[in-house]
Amino acid sequence: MLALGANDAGAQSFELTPPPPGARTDRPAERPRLSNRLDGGRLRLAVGAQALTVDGSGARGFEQLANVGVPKPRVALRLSFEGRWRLGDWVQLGASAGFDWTRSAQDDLDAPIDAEPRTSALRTGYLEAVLFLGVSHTIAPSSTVDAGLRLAGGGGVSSWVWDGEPDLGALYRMSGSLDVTFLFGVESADGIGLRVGYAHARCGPFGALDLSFDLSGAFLDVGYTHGW
Amino acid sequence: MVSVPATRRLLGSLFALGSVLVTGCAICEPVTETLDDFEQRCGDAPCGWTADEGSIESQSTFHETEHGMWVGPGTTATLGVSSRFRNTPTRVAVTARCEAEARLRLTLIGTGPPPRDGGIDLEPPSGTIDVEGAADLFEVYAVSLAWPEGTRPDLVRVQTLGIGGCVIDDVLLSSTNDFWC
Repeated sequence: MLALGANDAGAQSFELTPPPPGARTDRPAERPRLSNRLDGGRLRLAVGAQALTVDGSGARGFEQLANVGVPKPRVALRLSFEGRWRLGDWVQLGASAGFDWTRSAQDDLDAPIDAEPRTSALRTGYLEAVLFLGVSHTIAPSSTVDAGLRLAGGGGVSSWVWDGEPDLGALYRMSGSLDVTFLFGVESADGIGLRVGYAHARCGPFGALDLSFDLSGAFLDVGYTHGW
Repeated sequence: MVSVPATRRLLGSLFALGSVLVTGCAICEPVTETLDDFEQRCGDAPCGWTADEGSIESQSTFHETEHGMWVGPGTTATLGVSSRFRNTPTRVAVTARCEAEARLRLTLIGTGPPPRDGGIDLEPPSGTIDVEGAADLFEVYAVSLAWPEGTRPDLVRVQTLGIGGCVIDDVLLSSTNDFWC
């Protein structure tokens, strides 16, 4: 700090004197701290797809349908909604609701007159508990990235539609995935995220044959996330 | 007077029409008809079937609301179908499953056209499918028929052989449309 002093004969001179303890200085302010206030929770709405690569229920599942000419489904589409709340620096707990849908497959009867092709489709709705182990890292004043491992398990109701007639059964499912989300905002933020993982669900039994179907395979979804 | 371009267009059109008629286009695609899906029930048994020996009854198959025909051990049952089909079948298929060590034999018997040379047709045309046992699941079994043109299906007969019974979910007939083919 510059102190202005005066001496005799009207002459002026400047001398440097140390600032008193505790006084403010004119040095440039420190860079603002990066925001890290998104430590409340997350809401996520996602759409995705799962490749159905494994039919683990043995013959009494999709194999039965393949026997009568109805091809196995290869992909399930997914819509899910999830809420998570932070319990610690790297632990979040939450719940998720989802809906899986496989397109209706039909057998390969040629040009039927009154022999309607057989059709089959699976619809599943589920609720599951979610454990998220990961970090939230602020990479810019208003940008945060969440990254971690997501584990989930739960159950629900499944509907197997056969020749237009639905039949209800129970299901359980579990999944593990890697989750990366970019959020933009300070007090609250919105962003987009990507999730890649593996899920397994078993639904049934259905009908007189006690059929059960496994929906197992890798999945990918893209989600819109709101954080606070 | 007919101009040359108009003549060419006329010839081109006739050629295209002739090509369609010769190839049959999509008219000759095989068609599939249900001989019986066993959804019509008369009491405890599928409608129209008669058990000459043994027993038959209606039974759920894939769904509780969907039905097939249970054919008990040592059963012979028949269904008359002479008035149902106009085309000559080229293939018959059955969706069925049998208990272990049971075997199902399905025979489709036809009525052929009268012999042209005045001879006697001793053997009616027929086709047989054998469904082996030990199949826990439904499967589709099929056999091709080389029946003379004009032959119509007349009777279906199912028999269970060996130990145990079988369930039939449906019987389908495929044929080629006889218009242009």
